Amino acid sequence: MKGAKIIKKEPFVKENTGSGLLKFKRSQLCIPYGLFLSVFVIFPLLLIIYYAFTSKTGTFSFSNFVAFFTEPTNISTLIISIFVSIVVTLICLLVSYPVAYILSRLKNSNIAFVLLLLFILPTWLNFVLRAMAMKELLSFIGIPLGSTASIIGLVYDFMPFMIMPLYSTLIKMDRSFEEAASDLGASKAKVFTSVTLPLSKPGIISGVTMVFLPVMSCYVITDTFSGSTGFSLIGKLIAKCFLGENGAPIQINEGAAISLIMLVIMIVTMLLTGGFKNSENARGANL
Amino acid sequence: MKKILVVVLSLLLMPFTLALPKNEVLAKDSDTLVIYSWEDYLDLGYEEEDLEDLSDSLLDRFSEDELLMGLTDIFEEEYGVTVEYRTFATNEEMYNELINNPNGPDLICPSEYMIMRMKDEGLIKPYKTPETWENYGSPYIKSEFSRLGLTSGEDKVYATGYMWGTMGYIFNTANTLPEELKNWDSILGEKFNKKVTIKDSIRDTYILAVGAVYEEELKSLDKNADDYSQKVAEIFNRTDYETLQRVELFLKDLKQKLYGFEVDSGKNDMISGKIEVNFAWSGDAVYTIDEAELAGLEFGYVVPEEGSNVWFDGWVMPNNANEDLATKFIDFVSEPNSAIRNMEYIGYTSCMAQDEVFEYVLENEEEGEEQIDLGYFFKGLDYTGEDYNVTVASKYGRLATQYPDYETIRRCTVMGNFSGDTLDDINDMWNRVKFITFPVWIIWTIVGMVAFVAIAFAFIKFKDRIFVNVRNKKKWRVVKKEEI
Repeated sequence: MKGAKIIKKEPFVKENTGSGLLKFKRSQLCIPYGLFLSVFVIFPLLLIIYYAFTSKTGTFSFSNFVAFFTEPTNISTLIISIFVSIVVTLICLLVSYPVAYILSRLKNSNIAFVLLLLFILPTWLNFVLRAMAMKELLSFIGIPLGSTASIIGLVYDFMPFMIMPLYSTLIKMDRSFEEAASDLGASKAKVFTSVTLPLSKPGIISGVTMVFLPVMSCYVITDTFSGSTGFSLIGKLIAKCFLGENGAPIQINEGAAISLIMLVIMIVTMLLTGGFKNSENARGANL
Repeated sequence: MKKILVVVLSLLLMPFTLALPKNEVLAKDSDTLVIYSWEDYLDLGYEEEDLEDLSDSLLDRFSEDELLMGLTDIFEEEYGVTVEYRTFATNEEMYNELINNPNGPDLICPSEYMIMRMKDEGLIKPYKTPETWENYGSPYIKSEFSRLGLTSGEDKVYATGYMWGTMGYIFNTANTLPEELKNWDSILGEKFNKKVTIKDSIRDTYILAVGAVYEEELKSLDKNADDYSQKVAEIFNRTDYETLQRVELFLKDLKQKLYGFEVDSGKNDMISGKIEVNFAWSGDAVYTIDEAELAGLEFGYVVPEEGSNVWFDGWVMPNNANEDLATKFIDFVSEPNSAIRNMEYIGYTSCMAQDEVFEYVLENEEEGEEQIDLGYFFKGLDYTGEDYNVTVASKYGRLATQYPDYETIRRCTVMGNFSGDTLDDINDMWNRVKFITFPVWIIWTIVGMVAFVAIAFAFIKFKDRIFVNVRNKKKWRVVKKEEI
């Protein structure tokens, strides 16, 4: 790699100076996306809030939340989901960090590119298909369906989302810091713990966010890998509320309430990990 | 400012996007018939390359051109109308859709319990009994319909039957004898550990569990008593607190020994040999037996001794359906030719009992010693003659699966509709089975620990702010130039 390259900051594109056709202001260019955002993101959110706070008959009530927090099954599922998410995130981080580190330090950039491609390639295929293929593989190896298989499946599925932000942070990292630390007599371990690791924090945070939150609701994977005989995630509960199944009622209001609770958990997690801060270092790593 | 404008504008637009589908007045087009049914539940025509694989029953009866056309196409041509075939995946999905948009379909094909619920809630109307149903519907199915209150007065019905069947276990005859699966709880045996799938659907699995829980009681009933059927129906429809408790315990125990819950992957898992037993609808069983035969395997289907559920799907009309056209369609799909085509296409059993249908059954007669008695279906429960006895290779084979023997049907019953609190209780029980539930004290302990850690963390992190004047007085300050 190019050693101590000083990364120059690109100046921001200035407001359009009005050349020919494109006489749009930046704010005007936002309109299509603004519309999209409001119709497909904000409006559904409002609907969720509306349904969460109304009863089946359409009157305002907190009954959906009361029902959620008084039913041990729901709370247990929430606790299990968070616990599973933590476990999966930790495994992903422990496996991905060395991978991303090695990839970013490879001298031959062609090999690095090919290796990286190998890690990203599976994500181009839909995760349901990948899960089904992986399930066949597991049963071929002889790992029975169940909770262990579910964890393996989740880790397999979310690994690329951990590798990518880590890799992009590590590759952009200014190597001169590490060199400086070495020159000043720090051991390799010391360089890693006091320079590389802290500098890659934005990548870690962004990777953790990208794995931790989606895992909680990724019920298709656990369904595929455990046949619903192991643990079930909170996403399954939401799906069951909205989709119903033959014989079980569709409970839109309860489902909306659980979704809202999930949303709150997500916002809290984002706040804790500083995901809302537009940190300079994390740019690009937040994907 | 602009941003706010954009948001406000789009918010203003929203009511329109929301209102569009709902307020759209669907002027009922008398030339369009909207059918709302299950996916792959009607012969919609074959592809050219499939023709040579079809059975003789089909090829002898229909020309190739007819087989290439779906039943809806034929109906369109015959009556000069347009047919729209919409599909749903679960009864509940259909129910919600109908409540949101009652103007939609003319003809719906829900399952028995949903028909009862829709009838109770006034979502469907009684219609004049279609002639074919009146004259050629299976007497057995018709008697079940009137027992469940799906008739209205002398000449009106809420529903006419389409397909029906039982529930039981599919097994591989090479590895398992039917005797090994003669009870519902046989799947708990060591032999089937982690080799069984059951339905991820509370109604179906409830039958299995009730059958297992009340095994002794069901077996001890006197089969020759007059009220035998009523007693079986009463037991399978129990939803009291004690039953729910026992069912929950049974299912939790069973869950540990399952390969998984499924609704449609079971067929393939059987054929690929991942599982030994699949709890299934008889129609799916026929399909699986056929597929297995292509793979060189021989599968069987058994309804356990305790008895089982008889399910059916029927045609119902929502309140503002085009009754004329819908009735014509019911008559059309109830014709023997349509019934045979549908049975061949989807593998399920038609509720129709014309002579032509019986001929079709005879065409499928198997070589063997065993006889099954189908008089109950074609002539009625009190028929005692032997004209409708059919030879089969095995009472667990394909034909006996498609058309269950009278012996089997006697111990089966139709499970009613659960509503209100009962439905909620059963749903909660099912959730407790499907999702891991900790005892309350464990939940409190975990919540307490998390709260403690959070508070401790916040305390350490923000102690500077909390004790701002006490401990962390600034030890330095900026010195102004003038002071120096």
